[in-house]
Amino acid sequence: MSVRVVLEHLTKKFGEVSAVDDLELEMHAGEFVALLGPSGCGKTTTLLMVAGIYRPTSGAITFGDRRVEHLHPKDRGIGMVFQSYALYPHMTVAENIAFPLELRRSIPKAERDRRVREAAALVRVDALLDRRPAQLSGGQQQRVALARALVKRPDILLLDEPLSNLDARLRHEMRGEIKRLQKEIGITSIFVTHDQLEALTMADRVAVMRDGRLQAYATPAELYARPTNRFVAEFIGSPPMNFLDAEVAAKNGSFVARAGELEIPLVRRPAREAPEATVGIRPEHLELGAPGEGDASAEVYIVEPMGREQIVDVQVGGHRLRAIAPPGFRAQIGDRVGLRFAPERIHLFDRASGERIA
Amino acid sequence: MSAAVAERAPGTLRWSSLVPYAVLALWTLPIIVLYVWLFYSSFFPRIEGFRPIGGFTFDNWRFLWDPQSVPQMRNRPAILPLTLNTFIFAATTSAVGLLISSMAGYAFSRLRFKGRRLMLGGVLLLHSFPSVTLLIALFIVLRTLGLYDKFVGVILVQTAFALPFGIWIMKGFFDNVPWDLEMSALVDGAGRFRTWLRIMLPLVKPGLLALAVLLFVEGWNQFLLPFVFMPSGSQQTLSTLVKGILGEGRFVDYGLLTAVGLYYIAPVLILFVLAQDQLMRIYAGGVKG
Amino acid sequence: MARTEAVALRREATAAAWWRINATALLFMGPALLLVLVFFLAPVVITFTMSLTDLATSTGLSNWQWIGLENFARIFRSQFWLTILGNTVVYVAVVLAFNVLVGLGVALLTMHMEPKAGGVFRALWLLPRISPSVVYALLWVWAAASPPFGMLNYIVAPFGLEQRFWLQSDPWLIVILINGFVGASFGMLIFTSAIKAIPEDLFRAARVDGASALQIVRRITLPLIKWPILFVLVYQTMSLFASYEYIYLTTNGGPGLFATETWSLWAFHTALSNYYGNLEFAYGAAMSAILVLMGLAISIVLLRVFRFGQLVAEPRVEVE
Repeated sequence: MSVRVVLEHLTKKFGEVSAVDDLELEMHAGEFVALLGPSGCGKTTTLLMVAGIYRPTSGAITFGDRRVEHLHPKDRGIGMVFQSYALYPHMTVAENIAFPLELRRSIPKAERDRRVREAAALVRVDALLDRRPAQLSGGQQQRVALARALVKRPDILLLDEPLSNLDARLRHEMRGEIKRLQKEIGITSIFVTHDQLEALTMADRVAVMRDGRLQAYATPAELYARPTNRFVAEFIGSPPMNFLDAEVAAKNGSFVARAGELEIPLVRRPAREAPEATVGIRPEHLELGAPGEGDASAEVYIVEPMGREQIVDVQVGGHRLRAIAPPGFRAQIGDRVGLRFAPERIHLFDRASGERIA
Repeated sequence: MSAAVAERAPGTLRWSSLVPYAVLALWTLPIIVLYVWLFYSSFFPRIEGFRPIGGFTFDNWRFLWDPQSVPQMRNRPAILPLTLNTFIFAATTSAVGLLISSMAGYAFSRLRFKGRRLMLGGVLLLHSFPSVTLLIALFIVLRTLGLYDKFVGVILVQTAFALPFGIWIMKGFFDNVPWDLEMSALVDGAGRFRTWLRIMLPLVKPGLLALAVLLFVEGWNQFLLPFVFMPSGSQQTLSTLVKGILGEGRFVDYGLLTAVGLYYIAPVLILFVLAQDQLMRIYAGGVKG
Repeated sequence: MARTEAVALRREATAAAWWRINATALLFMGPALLLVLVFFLAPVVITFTMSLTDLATSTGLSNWQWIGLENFARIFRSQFWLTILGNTVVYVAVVLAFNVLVGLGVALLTMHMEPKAGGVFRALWLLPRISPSVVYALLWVWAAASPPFGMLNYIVAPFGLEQRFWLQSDPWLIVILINGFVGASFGMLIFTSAIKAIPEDLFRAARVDGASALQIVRRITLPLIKWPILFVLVYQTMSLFASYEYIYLTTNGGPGLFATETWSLWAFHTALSNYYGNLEFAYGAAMSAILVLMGLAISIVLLRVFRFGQLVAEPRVEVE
């Protein structure tokens, strides 16, 4: 039932503007892929092209071994959940879920009812079948939308910002639900989001997009540990990565990055010469210790206790960096602390192109 | 706005806040006088200004049960066939007009096709075309098609005339349905026709209802078309009857005239009272587009 | 897949899709297009071609001939065309002023009172519009009737004015009143909804700033409904140019020869209700052709003021 999806040289132009530019993407059967990026990056446009609502300006879309880019949505075998859920307000929950089946006259009523109940039970809305959408909560509406998308046993499931309309707690709950559901059914799924946390927690692989172009396509772990460029590094992870403009120089047989007075030892050799580079380090890899320890001495700028951890902003050599410290760490504004850059966790980017060089 | 503007300190009565009432009452007086007279006059044999001559009577209304005793009614069809004709005319043009408008309105709102912009402009243009121009030529067209002096012919013309307005209104209503629902229906597997039938139409029901009422009223009230294109006796409508009595010359039996007139306008008045909000909304909303 | 293959497949698919789009559109637009073709476009073409012939009841449908621009020459040779044109201009100008000013007035006044009362007044002003034309006309015929019947006489009596048969003595007054009262409701509706669309906060801020009701109307309300006012002006101008039904039902263009005859009524009389029985279709068509041209000229001039593009945004789903 689940199929491979391949996008080749996919481009969509609106007039002169390229919303999606030469996108190449391949999704394995049964994989859960996220299209992630800021608004306007082309992720929704891509999704709508996969759905068949937009026609690509050029390029190919393949489901399994079928070329589909010229097919009507109803011939593609897809189920879709819209950001607004798009439930038909004048129909009950049962009628909404049954709608895709009713359109295929080949399915007899008894079978239809059975499948509706099956889909409803899958997402746990079987107690709500007689209600109207207006009587449901946001979370319930979304589950009905899911049921409707899945009832026709599609090959591919598409979700457009499925969690953005939910409040924080519900979002957390639905994240797990959707992921579990996808794994249970094993359907190839593509979902669009602007929230990197959603993408990282739910997807098998994440495609990061910006201005219509693909920036990176990898598992969440890879994206997190080895982002391919500065944009991806900055977009993924919360609180975001710290960046320092620095010079890379050789010293004593290895390399260091110099940012003003700061001198950071590097363990990895840069891919190429880059006198102008940017150093990146995630807050969780910036270690705070007693003054005098570590690579540099910094002054505490602000402390934000978060319960499980603390976010500490420090000033060092004209830069303000953000670090994460354990709850026991005592520090006040103005205190001096020691700063250590975990050497394996330092990222190096070319300052001009943003490309990763170490 | 009225709440914000008409607000004043509680417990005080300012003269200025009464001014709108006074002015408007004065301006509206002619209308009130005219329509009150319509009611009043139909129940008296003669009325001079507002002074009745003779007592309250139903005599003027005898055209309903004893038409032969009314000189002006002797050469005309009876009141029941006339009423039926008028009703069928109004109901048919409303139904057909509604169907065609909701189809074309959907197309303009949701489909892409060549010449769409041109046609939309054309629709607006048609709406303000001088009708007399069309009437003269339609005379020829109907004769050629063999539809002159036929009920069907007048129904078709009336429906056609109602289209520009109807299409514009329905397009407006369809425009207000979120695109998500349409996309969802397509993904669920519905073609455009089924999307229109199962999803869009139910969602614009208030618009359909309002338009239906409006078209019915326009059909019911129509004078020129039946008058010009259906002159022979058997298929006349109530409007032709009233005109016949009205045009008798200088001496008019106002009692009879107002009774017939009141009879004719009664259904419209009732509909108006019942469906007032709908109608007002559609009149205003429609032109805003 | 080889590049040429891919391109060919796509072109074929696009062509197939193109057909599908147009077939669906055809289904939905078909009936409307048919009716418009037969009852709008065909008549327009026929009118213009017919104006070059001598078609009338005297010639019948089989004995007519082409006479070129003779009809048009005849119009301008007649002794009445200038009077009628003047009548038309006066009619449109005066009734337009009435309609827009009164419509605006009623809208503003009803917004400055209790909403329910405002609704009642607006409903009253809608009465003429929703009444059958013959019934509304008969009301005015009565009002304009000679003593002892007509209402107008009773109104002017206290002021010492002469009692008269108004339809005969002051036909223009009646024509203007009857068309004015029914036309004002159009503007009233448009302006009311336009005023309602103005955010409450603007009025609240103005009141806090100490503005009086009159100042609010002049400085805030009116400027913000500039476009609806313009729209009503254009629309009503076109509408009045073409209207003749109420004149027909009351003064019928009289009294006498063409005292209150407007151009559209003239065309109507000539072609469709000639007293002597000879309906001169072609001659009437020529008159109405001129009417169309006049209307077109005016609308082109007036429509320059508007931005039409906004109303025709392209749909967002590209699938058929």
